Amino acid sequence: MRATPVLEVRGLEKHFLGRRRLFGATAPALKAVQLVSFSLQAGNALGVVGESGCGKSTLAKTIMGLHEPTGGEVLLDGRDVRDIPRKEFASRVQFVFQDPYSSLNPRKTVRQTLDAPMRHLAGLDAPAREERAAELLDLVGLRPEFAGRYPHEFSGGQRQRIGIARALAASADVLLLDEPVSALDVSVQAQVLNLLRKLQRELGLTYLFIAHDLAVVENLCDEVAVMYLGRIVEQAPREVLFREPRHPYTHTLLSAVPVPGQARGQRLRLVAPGDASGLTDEGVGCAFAPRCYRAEPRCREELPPLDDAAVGHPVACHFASDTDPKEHAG
Amino acid sequence: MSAVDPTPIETTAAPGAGTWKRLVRNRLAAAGLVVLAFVLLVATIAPLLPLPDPDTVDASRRLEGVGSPGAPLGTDHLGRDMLSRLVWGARVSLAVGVFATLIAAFIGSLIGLFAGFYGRIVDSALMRSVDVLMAFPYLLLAIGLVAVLGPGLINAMIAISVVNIPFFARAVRGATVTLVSSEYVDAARALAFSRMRILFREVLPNVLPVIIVTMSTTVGWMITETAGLSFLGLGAQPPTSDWGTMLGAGRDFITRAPHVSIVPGAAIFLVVISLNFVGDGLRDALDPKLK
Repeated sequence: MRATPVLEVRGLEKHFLGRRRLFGATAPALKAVQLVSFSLQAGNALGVVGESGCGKSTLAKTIMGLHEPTGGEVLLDGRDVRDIPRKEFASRVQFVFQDPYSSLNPRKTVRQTLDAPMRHLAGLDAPAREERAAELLDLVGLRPEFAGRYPHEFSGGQRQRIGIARALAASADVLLLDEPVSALDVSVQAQVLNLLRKLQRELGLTYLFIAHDLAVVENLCDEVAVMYLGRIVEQAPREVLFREPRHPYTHTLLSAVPVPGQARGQRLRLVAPGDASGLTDEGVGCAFAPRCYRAEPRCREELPPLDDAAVGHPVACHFASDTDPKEHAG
Repeated sequence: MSAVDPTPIETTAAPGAGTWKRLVRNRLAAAGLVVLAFVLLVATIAPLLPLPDPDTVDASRRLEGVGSPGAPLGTDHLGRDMLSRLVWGARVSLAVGVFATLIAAFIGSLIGLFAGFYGRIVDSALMRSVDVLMAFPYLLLAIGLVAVLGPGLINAMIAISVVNIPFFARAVRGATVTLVSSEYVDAARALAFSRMRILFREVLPNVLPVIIVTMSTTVGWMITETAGLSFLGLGAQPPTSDWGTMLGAGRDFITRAPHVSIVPGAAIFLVVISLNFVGDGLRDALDPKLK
């Protein structure tokens, strides 16, 4: 039996109610997150991947409390977060936003941005905040004289470092990272990812890392969950997932990751036609069935449960135990 | 793309001092400030200035032109000294314009902030009330309010403030709505800041430019709107004169003695345009991006 997970999510649901139209019925609810469960051990990093609109950002924001969950629960150290005072939760769990441009208040200097959480959450006095601010800037690789500058004076990568420093200002140990590098240039992405890895190693941080890019996750995460239309369809340790993907969707995603030294025609490229639209459509079967190369009539009638009976890690596919999904590909 | 190395930028001074420096570096704003300071100074020390009494009627010196001996800006239809009336009128007009603007800006901005921040029912309730105010022609509403409160300068000022609340409320609400959904507000929520702290520390500073610009344009309207009420006998009561009353009084002699309306008109113009320059300058000076 493992220790109590630092962060646990049980059956989390987030539905966005449709707007009530002037005449007639309410538009159907958008089920952005459906029955998502996972647990995260201290010091680990869980990557959540999926294409745009699959609900992964909503998942992170719901855990953070930025969205009110429709159902399910979030536990921090085994305690229901609804029983934890907001300030205490905020000083343990912090969020790093996707867009480093809109996530910093343009009228606050770096110092002011960092100051508020230190005073408000950690209750540090002025000299302690001064010291801690310098320490934070050093930690995220920014020069101390940057403290008096405004966000627009920085590049995207530097801004994201400020965002990370803000998240760490009140000594949070769990970071929810919502595509923290997807808005950055590729070369800067690597720097920020390296910073995140360094911070995790030095401070023993726990990460929930949202990404739409498997390559980014591969570098940083111990475990990977794949989301499709609001549900986790497969979750496995990184090596297992990358070596032996069991869900056709995971397989499709992986086949899109370019491999150095391999020309385009040399490897199998699976393509899922269409896109992940129709989130409001409450079909009975597997949500991926319409785009799946492996789909059979059964898939459209019966929702495959997410269980690990077939292959030892959770997969939501009727054919998870098939040896090689490739043979079914066109 | 600069990856890690920053573009070299001059080090930043404390925000307060920097704002003032940036404001006076803007020539138009500086000129506006000088004009406003001069007008304010003259209005303040009016009792000390060697001016004839602004209300003394002299039937023998009616409608004398600009540059007449003893009356540098001429006299009006009752032979009163225009310069003296202009200086004393400035006290009334500026006080009304500034206070009415402050009241309207304060109430209107609060309505706009709360409506935009809380949304839903709060938004609907507040903004529909504002729409009711807007649905009346402004003068009619002002007259109605004065009719209820009774004529007089203070009541005219209150009426003018109320009439102008919707402009602030709408402008501020619009700015607030876009800011509330920005990620730095989410970040503040993630840091468990209280709603009031988010509203006044995170949102308000970013809405401030909208408020300042609206204020600088509104003061001018206020002065002329008060003039409208005074013209109808609901504002400044004779013989007290504000610039608006003077402007209105000159109407009957516009061809024979144009200076009677041009002098107060020019004064209003000068003050309004100075306010606009200062307002624009202040907006830019408060924007950290335009240092």
